[in-house]
Amino acid sequence: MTEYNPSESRNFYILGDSHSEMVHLIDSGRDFTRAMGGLLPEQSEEVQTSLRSVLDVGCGPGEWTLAMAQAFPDVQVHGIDISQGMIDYASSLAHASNLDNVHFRVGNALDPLPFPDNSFDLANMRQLEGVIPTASWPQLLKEMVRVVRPGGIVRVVGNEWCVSNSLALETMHRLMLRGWQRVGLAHVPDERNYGIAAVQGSYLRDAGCVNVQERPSIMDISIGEYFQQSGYQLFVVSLALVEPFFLSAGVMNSKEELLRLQQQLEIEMSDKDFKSIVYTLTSWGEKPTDTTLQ
Amino acid sequence: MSMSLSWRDMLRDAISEPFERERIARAVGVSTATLIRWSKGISSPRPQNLGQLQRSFLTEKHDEFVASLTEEFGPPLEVEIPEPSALIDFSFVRQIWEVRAMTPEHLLFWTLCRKVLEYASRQLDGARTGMMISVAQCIPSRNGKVQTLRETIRYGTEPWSTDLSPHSLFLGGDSLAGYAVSYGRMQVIDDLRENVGFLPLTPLTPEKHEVSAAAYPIFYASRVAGCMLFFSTLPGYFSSDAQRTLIVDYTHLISLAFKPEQFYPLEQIALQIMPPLEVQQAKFSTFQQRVTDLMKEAFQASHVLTRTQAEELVSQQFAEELLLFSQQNLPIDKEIRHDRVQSI
Repeated sequence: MTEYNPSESRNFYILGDSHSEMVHLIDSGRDFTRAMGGLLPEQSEEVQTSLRSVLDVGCGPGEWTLAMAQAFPDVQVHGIDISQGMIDYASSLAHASNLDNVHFRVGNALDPLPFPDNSFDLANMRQLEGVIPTASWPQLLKEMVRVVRPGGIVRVVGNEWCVSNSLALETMHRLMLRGWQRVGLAHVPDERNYGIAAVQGSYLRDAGCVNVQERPSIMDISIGEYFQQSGYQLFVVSLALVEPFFLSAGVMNSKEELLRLQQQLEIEMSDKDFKSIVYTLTSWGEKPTDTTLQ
Repeated sequence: MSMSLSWRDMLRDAISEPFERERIARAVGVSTATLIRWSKGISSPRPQNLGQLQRSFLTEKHDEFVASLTEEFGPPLEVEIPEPSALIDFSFVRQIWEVRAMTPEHLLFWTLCRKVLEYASRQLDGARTGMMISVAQCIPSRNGKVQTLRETIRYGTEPWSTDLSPHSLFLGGDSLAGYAVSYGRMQVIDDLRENVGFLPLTPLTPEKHEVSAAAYPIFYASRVAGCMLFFSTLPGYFSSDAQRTLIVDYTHLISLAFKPEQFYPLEQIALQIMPPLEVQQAKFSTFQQRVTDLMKEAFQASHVLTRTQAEELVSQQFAEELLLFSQQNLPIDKEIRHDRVQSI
């Protein structure tokens, strides 16, 4: 497994960019889309029928980007991600799908976005908590506003982890958040929440958006529920991939400790009494036009 | 004098009802906003959307709708199954080599299979008419013979659920997968609906979307680890050379997910008849709990037992119990009909 070293790589993503993570992101992205009620469930039909070009920041292997290109065949959809491997895989899937309205390129969201002003009708950023350092969010949101046309939409989707009756899952949660605190990814001052839900709306307003709105959704991953298997994969695979981050952030002392937590997690998440939900918040706002500014 | 309506007018009428708008959008694989744009003449369907749009339009004006579409987009509409390229993109093959070389052992099978299934479903089902692909793996018995296969991973696109969990279905010598593994070659069925009562056609899912099917054995050094199964919602989907070439190539790629010891000589394959889907499903309600119980026991004794290892152990126990059930309950003179399967 590769080392977690953001100061050198400028890549803060805690699960790395292995092939396992690519597959994991495709699967979990698809499940989150379904749990949220669609690709743009909060946007009006009027907004959706007016789309011509869309940007997906931190697109990973392109699950949302490809699905948008599929669902909106006359919209040009662009995806940008720091990982060459993720972009190669996303491009392969676009080729296999025979999609010619989707475009992927390598780029770091911590740098100015490589697009001219007013290029897109909608800029999307989904589940980048755990990827973008806290201090970089305001500038990134300003960049997203810059590349969206006046009247266009900037959209941010964030997860607030989950609540569960599994000690192993709660332990994993606590270790993750402790690590986030140590490397500058957390948005609140303690280890109980990511805090992203509390700040998404204000980030959008501070970046200049107007008409900021929010919509919550949940994914029930309890035993017997539709997303049970999704939740199992989401956390068991995440825990298998997070080792370099845990060791680098100093929240876990040995591989043996992690192995035992992995075993405990697999058992508890398969138990007939396991209960948990993951909750997600979508925040979006408009770039002001001359009219909205008056 | 009545004016004839264009396909856009008819589509606009049909999608004015929200439920119908959602249904057609899902069937065509586009957003409702895209349907609205087509109906208003803001944009037009792409060639790959035309077949599904035609099939999903179910009102009494279906024939007029198709005639109007044909008038605007030309006659190739009746070509419902676009022929895929018979080649897998080399950059993807290189990614699979890298998966095999770099992925930790406990994630290798899942990662490699999921990557291949995702890519294969996109290439083989370019028009998004619906496809399910699964992997069935040889389960050795205590006497060393392979008496059953177990579905270990699956992936489906609409109308199948995209649920990735294997249904732990056991497949015997009377299944399409069993034929492919026993004979060591591709097996194809063009239309499952014409083969009622024929056991290889027993659907793998309760939804019964399967219309045509193909299976090809997973080989290494002339030994076999199981097979890949492909199902389509359309008849005759796997009849073209391009589809069959891709099926063989994807199965060879997925063989990289297996360890050499998971392959068995054909002489060791002695598949038996397994109980039907309904019987197995009733029994499977306890499968995951038995796996979990086994893992708990190991954990409490401070032993390392992965879920994969626990599932293998429970699979062997289940296979034995199901075989016993079959021997006690299935008619002795049960006939296996070979005439509706094409061996290739």
